[in-house]
Amino acid sequence: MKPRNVSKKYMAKVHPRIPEYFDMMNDGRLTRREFMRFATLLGMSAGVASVAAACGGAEAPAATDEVMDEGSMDEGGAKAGGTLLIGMETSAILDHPARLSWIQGANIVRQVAEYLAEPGADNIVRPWLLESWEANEDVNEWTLNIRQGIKFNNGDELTADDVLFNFDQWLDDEVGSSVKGLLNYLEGGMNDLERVDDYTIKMHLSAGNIGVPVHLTHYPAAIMHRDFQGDFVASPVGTGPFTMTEYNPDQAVVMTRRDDYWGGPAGPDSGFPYLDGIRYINMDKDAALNALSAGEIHTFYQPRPTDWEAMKDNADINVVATSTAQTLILRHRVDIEPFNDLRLIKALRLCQDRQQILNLAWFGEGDQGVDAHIAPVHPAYDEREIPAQDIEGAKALLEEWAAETGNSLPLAVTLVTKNDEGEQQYAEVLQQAANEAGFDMSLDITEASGYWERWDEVPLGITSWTHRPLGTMVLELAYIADNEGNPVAWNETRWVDEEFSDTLVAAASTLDVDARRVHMGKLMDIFWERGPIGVAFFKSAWRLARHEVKNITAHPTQYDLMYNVWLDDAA
Amino acid sequence: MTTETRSKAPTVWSNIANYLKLVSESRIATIGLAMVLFWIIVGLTSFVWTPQDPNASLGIPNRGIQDGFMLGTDRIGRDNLSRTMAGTQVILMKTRIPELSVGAYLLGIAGISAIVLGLVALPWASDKRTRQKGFIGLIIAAVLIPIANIIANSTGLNDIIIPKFAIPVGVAIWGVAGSLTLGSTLGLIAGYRGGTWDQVIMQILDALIAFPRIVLYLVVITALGQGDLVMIFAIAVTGAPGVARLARSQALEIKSRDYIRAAETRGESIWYIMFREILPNAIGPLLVDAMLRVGYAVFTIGTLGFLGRGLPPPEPDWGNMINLARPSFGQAPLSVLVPAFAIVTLVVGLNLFADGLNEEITRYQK
Amino acid sequence: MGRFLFRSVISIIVTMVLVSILLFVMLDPRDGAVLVKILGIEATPEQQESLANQLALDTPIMTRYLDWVIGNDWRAERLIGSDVVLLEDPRTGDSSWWIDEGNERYIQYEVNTDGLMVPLVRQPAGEYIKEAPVDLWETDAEGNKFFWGLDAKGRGALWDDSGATEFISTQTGWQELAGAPVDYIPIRKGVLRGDAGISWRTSRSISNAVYLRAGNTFKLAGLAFVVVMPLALLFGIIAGINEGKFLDRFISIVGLIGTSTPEFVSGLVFILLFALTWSLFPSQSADLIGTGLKPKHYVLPVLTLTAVELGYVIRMTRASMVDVMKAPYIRTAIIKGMPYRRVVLRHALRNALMAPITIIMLHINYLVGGIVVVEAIFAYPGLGDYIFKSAVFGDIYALAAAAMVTVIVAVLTRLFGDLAYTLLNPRIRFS
Repeated sequence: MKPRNVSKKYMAKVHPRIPEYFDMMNDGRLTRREFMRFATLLGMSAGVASVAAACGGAEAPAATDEVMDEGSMDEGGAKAGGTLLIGMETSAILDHPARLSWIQGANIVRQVAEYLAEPGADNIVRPWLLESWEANEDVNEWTLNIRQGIKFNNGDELTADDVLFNFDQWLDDEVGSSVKGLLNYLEGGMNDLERVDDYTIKMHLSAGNIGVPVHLTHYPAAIMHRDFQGDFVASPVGTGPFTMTEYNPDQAVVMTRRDDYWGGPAGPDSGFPYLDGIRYINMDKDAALNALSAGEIHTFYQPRPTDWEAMKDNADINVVATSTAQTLILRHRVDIEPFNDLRLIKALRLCQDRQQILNLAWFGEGDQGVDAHIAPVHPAYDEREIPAQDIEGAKALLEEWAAETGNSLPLAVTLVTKNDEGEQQYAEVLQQAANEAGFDMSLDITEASGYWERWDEVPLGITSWTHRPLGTMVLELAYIADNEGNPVAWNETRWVDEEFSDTLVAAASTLDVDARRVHMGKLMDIFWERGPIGVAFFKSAWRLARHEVKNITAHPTQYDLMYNVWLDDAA
Repeated sequence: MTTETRSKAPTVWSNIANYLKLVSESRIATIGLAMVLFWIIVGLTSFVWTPQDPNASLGIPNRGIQDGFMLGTDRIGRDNLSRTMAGTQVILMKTRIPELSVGAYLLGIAGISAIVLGLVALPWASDKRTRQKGFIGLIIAAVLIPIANIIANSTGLNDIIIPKFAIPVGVAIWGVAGSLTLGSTLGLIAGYRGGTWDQVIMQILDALIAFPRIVLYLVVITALGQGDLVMIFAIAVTGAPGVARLARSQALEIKSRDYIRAAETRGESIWYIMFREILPNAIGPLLVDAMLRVGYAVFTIGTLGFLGRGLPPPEPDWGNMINLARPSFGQAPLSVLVPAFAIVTLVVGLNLFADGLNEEITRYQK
Repeated sequence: MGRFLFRSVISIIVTMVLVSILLFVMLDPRDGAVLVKILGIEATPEQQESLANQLALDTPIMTRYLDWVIGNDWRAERLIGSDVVLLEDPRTGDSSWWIDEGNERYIQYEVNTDGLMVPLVRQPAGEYIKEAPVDLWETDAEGNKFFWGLDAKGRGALWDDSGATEFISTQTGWQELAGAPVDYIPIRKGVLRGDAGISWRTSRSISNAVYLRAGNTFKLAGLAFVVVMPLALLFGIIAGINEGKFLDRFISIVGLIGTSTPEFVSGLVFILLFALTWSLFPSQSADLIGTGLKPKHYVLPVLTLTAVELGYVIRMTRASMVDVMKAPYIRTAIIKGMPYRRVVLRHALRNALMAPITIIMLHINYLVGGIVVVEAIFAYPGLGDYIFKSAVFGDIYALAAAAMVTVIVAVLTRLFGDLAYTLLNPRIRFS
C-alpha cells in the first residue's frame, strides 16, 4: 500500500501545481509541513504527500508517525474496549447539525456523523468520506469523489444523493447554516453542483478558491442521511464510528461502538473505533477539572489556561499542546477622536512587553505576535522579528502627537475589555507601561456579556478572536469594506486601507505559495506601518487527558477526533 | 428600662445609644464587635495603603508565602492580602455609581422618591382621618416614575452623561438599610393597623419571602444586570419581608401598652405613634436583626461572586476571588482560604455581635 | 381546623398569583438585552424585531403573562380554525404541536417558494412526510391573503403574501428568509397545566427538564434533611440544656462557624480533601444515570449542605430549649423534685420542639437556596443548577418556571409547618 517514492509525474497527475511546490520544498522555500498542507488541499492524499515530503524535503526525513493516515499510523499496542468519559457542557441547542454554533454540540454529532474531509489536529485537511478531490488548474472546478461502500448506521449506503442533500441543506436559507457563508462561491446555489454519477459530484465555482476542502471540514458540515428532517436527536443517522444510544443533555450523552463501521480511510481492518463507547458527561470546567484530577473522567472539553496550569505537573495527566490562531486583539476605532491618529495605537503597541503579556495572560503558552492578525500557524505566514518593548519610542510618538495637536499629556484613555480569556491581564500589563509612556489609562473591565454588548462600539478595547484555519479568512471578516465602501459588519476598528484590501484579494486567490507569502508579508507590513491593532500573542490550546488515554490529540478548534483513540489501563 | 422611661417616649437615637451601652457588658458582643471593627479598619486602611497594588499582577502566579506577598499570590500574580483587604471596600465602605445619564438619575431619584412617598403616604392612607391625604400621596408616588420617564425621554437628558463615582458606605450596609426602611414601615403599619391592611401587606410580603433567597437574587440580577445598585436593591427586597415580620410582631406587642393608648387618646397622628412611640421601643430587636442581615448580605454577595453573578470588577470581590482561584486550589490554597477567612470572620463577627446584644437585651427585659 | 386549612389554601393561591406576577414583571425582557443574548452581538434591530416576533415578545405583557400561565393553544385554535394537539416525539421524548385533522392525521405546514402550503404529515414514529402543495390562502375583509397554521417547529404562524422576511441567526451572519410567517404564536399549555414552553437555552421542553431536575434536587435535599435534622436537634437540645456552660458555647460556636462558612468554601475544601487527596468519594455527581443511585455520589454534596445548615437548626432548637427550660412549669417541676431527666424528656422536649418545627419547615426554603451553590460546585443535575444556568443565559421562562417550583415547595412546607404547629399546640388550635 505505502508507496516508497512519489514521482513528479504522479504529483502532476493529482494537480499540476504540486510538482512546483515539491521543488520549492527542495529549495527550502517551503517547509515540509507547508508542502503537505498545500499538496493535500489540492487533492493529494496525506499519506502520499508525507512520503513525498519525506523523500524530498529539505528538512531531515520526517517520521510518518507525525501524520496519521491510511496505514501509516503506528498502531503498536492499540487496545480495543473501554468507555471514554469526557466532561463537556452538553446542554445547549442541538437540532440541525448544519445550524450548530457551538463546538461541543458538533463534538457529539461528530461521533455519529462524519465529514467529507477531516480537519487534522495538525491543521492538515485529509479526505474522509471522500476518496479524493481534484481541482482544475484555475481551482474553480472541483471534483469530489465519494468513497464507495460506506454504510450509514441505518444500513443505507452513502451516495452522491446524500452529499447533495446536505449541500442543499447548507445552502437553504430556511436551515440557516453558517456553511452557506463559506460556500459563497456557489452563486448559483444547487445549480452549481453537478451529479456526475452515484459517487462523483462536480462543484462549479464562480471564482477560484483554494479553501474548498477546508470549508468541508467546517463543524456544521456533518453529512446527514438524505431523509434527515432537522432534528439530530430524533434521528441520529450517520456514517460515524459510534451511534448515539442515550441523549440526556442534562446529565450525559452516550455513544456506543458500531460493529459495522466502515473503518475510516484505512478500511474495516483498521479496527476503528477502538473504544466501546464514549460518554459525554455534562459538567462545567471547574467540576471537570476536579473530576479529571480525581480520575472520574478521562479528559474534558477545552481546558482553560488555569486548568493547564493546575494539571501540567500532574503525573497522571498527559498534556498535549497545539498552536492556534486564537488571539486577543488590542484595537481602537479609527473614526473616533483621538484615535483617528494612528500614532496613538502605534505608541500603545510599542508599550507591549509581549513576553510578559503572554506570560500573565496565557501562562507563556503561545506564539508572540507582531501586531498583525495573522498567526504563525497559518499557511504562508511570513516570519517577522518580534518587536521589543520601547517605552521611550512610545513617549516620543505621544509627545510628537501632543505637540502637533495641541493636546496635553498625560492623555486620558479608557481601555474596555472583558475578563474571561486573559484580557484583564493583558490590559493591566499594558496599563502599567502605557502610563509610563504618557497615557493616563483607566480600565473598564466587565464580564464577557457586558463587553459583547458593545465590543464594536468602544473606542479602545481588547477583543478575543477565535481560530480560523486560513490566514485570509479573518482578514476578510474584520479589516475590509463591503461593496458600498462601508466597513464590514465585524470591522470593529472601521479601518479600511485600499492597498491592504487589494493585497488581501490577491493573497486569497493566489495559489503559488511563494507569491502568497509575499502578499501575506505585505499585509503584515501594512498592519505594522498603519494598522489599527496590536497583537501581542496567539494562544496555545491543550488536551488534558489521563495517561491511560492513548493517541489522543489536541485540536486547535477543539474537535474530538476519537475513532483512533484507545484506553490502556495498564499504562 | 422601666415603664416610666418608656412612657416618656424615648427617641430612636437615645434608644440606640442605650443598646450600644449594653455591648460593653457582653463578652460575646465585644468579641463580635472587635471582629467587625477589624474589617472596618482593614477596609479603611485599604483606601490609603495595601502592601501591593491589589489589581496589578506583580508577583509570580500561584505562589505561597513569599517576599512582599505575605499571603501568597493568585493565579495571575496579584497579592492575596492586598486583594482581600480591598475586598472589604465594596461590601462595607463604598458603593460605585456607574456612568449614567442625567435621565437615568432622574428616573432613579423619581423611583426612590416614589418609594419614600409611598412609605410616607401608606400609614396616612391607613388612618381614617388622613385617608384622603394618604391616597393622594400614593397616586403621586405612582405617577412619579412615568413622569420622570417622559421628561427624560423628551428633553435629551438621556444624552448628558455623568461619569462614575463612588459614595460612602458599602453595598451590604445600604442594602440592609433599605430593607430596614422598607420592612419596618410596612411591618409597623401591618402590626399597628391590623385588619385588612395587615392581611394585604403580609400577603404581599409572603410572596416575597416564599422565594429561596439566592433564587430571588438571581432573578433580580438576571432582570437588571450586575452592579452595585442592583445588589443593593436585591438585598433590600429580599430582606424587607423578614424585617417586616419582626417589626409587625413588635408593633403587635407594643400597641396594647398604656402609652400608646394615651397617645391615641391625645389624638396623635398615626405617624407620631408609629415612629415616635412604637419604633423607638422596637428598634433594639430590629437593629440586632439588621446586624444578622448584614452578615447574610456579605454571605450572599460572596456566593453570587463565586457564581460569577456578583459585584462587577475591577474592585476585588471575595467570592469572585475564590472562584478564580478554584482551579488551582490544590497548588495555591491561600488564594481560596484568605478571602474565605475574610467572609467567615466578618459573618461570624456580625453574628456574635448580634447574639451578644440579644442576650443582654433579653436579660434586661426579664 | 377546616377554616384554618381553607384560609391557608386561599393564602397560598394568592401568594402564587403574586409570585407569578412578580416574576413575570421583573423578568420581562423590556430592553432587548435578552434578544442580544440569544442573537449575539451582531444582530441588527430588524433581526431582533424578527426574533421578538417569533418569540411573541412584541405582544402586550398581559397577553404574554396569560399565555405563560394558562397557555394559548385555545387562542391558536381559534385562529387556525381546527384543534391543535401536543404530541410527543417518541424518538426524543420532546413534544411538538400538530393540527389534529381527525383520523390520526396530524399536520404542520411549510410555505414553499411558489407560495403554496406544503402539508407535513406526521408519522407514528415521529417524523413527517411532505404532501403535495395545496393552496389554502384565505382572504380578509380588505382583500389581503392570509393563512393561519402551524409551522414545522409547531408554532402557530400567520403567513401573508406581503413577502415578509424572517431572520435566522447563523454563526457567520444573518440569513434572510423570504416567504416567512408574519406573526407567531409560540403555543404552550401554560404553567398551570404543566407546560412552560420551550427553553431558549436548550430548545427542549422546560417542564420536562424541571420535572426531572426537581426530582434530583428533592433527593439531595431530602438526604441532607434526614442527616441534618436528628443531629441538629440533638446538639441543639444538649446546648439548650447546658445554657451558658462550656458545652453550649462550644456547640454554638462550631455551629456558627459552620453556618458562616459559605457552601462554596466548605465544598471546595471537601473536594480537595476527600476526592483529590484521599480519593474517598467522587468530586462531582454530574452523571447520575451513568453511576446510578450510588450513595457515594451524594456524600460530598450532602456533607457540604450539612456543614452550612446544621448550625442554623442547632441555633433554633437551642433558643427554643432555653426558653422552655426557663418556663415556670418546668421550674416548678424541678423544684417539686421531679427527676431532671424526666422533666427534660417528658415536658421540656415536647414544647421545645414546637418552635423549631415551623422554623425548620421554613428552613427548607433556605435549604433549596443553598442547593443552588452545591449543585453548581458538584455539577449535580438538579433544579438549582438549572436555575443558575437559566439565569446566566437569560432564559427567562425557564428561570421563572423553575423559580415557581421552588416557591411552591416553600409555600407548601410552610403550610405543613403551620399545620404541624397547630396540631401540636392545643392553644393555637382553638383560637
